[in-house]
Amino acid sequence: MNAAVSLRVRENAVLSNVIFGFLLIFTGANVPLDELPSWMSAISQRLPFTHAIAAARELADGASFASVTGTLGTELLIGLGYLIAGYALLRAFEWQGRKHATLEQA
Amino acid sequence: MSRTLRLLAVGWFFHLKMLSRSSFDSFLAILWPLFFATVAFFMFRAGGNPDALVYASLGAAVMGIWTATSVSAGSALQRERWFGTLELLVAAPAHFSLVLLPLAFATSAIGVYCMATTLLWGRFVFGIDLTIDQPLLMAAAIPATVLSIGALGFLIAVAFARYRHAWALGAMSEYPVWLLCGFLVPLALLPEWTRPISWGLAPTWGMRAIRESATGGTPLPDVGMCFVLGAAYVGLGILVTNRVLRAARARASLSLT
Repeated sequence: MNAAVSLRVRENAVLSNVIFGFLLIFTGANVPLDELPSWMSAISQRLPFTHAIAAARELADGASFASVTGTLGTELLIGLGYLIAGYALLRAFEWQGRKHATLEQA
Repeated sequence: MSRTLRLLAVGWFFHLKMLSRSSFDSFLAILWPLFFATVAFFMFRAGGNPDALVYASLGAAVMGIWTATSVSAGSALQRERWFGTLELLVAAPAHFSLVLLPLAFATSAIGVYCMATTLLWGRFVFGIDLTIDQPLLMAAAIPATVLSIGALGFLIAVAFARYRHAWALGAMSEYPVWLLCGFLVPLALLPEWTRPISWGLAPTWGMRAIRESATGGTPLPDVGMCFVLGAAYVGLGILVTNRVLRAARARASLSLT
């Protein structure tokens, strides 16, 4: 999805860094999700990495693989959602770029 | 001497104006340290110790200065290369280090924006009540820190002059310095072998000076160390500049094309 948006955004490295910063705060990579305000936790549940990080923590804590399959399944579903959204965006930007001859303006 | 000082002052002012001209870059320079400050504030708040939050607030603020300097200084010469002005600057009558030094100091001065924003972010979003016990000494500690970090940026800029991806090397130095200079983690918690590295880095002393002045300690020795190390970086940077330029002229490789 990030790559798809880069078709329209000139400063794609900057965009990637901004996304990295948001993910660092929201996914529980460094901050426990319980410590985040409820609106931030709600966003976290819809972001990639959140569930994978939680599953990795549980596994490191001694949980069995079977007990985290649900969490990993959620992560895969979220990943699939972003994949579909990214593909749709890529096609939309490509179509827009062709129509307006603006592919190289990004 | 007065001509040199004038060149440094005018160069610093112009570079500062140019760096401040892009609202996009300015916004990003402020936003980027805020991500890490936010993470730090959440983590330290989870510990439930208000003193630790003040510690994190000051550390995150100095992190902003270093972040603003490391990447910009690392990529300074590459930027001049892209603009097509590097050869002109090298051929200018003034020594190249006098052209580059103000640029490095301007990048660290931009860090003051980051510092102020981080402190305000901590105050108004996380409720961190920061009281400065010795405001006058703080007023001395901040410029000393900015100058010494700028001098380190100058050394980085010339040391990476012959690398196309100098910005990546500058960015790579960002996180180790956060750790080694005790911005968020006390140096006492780091392995013993890292101490000499920390002592050789001016941001360590700048950080100490700022914390000491905030908590009523004795920041002047740390301020002194900032100046000593800053002067050492500048001296070393000038030597490296001469060497790099000599090698670039001998191999005709200044433009790296």
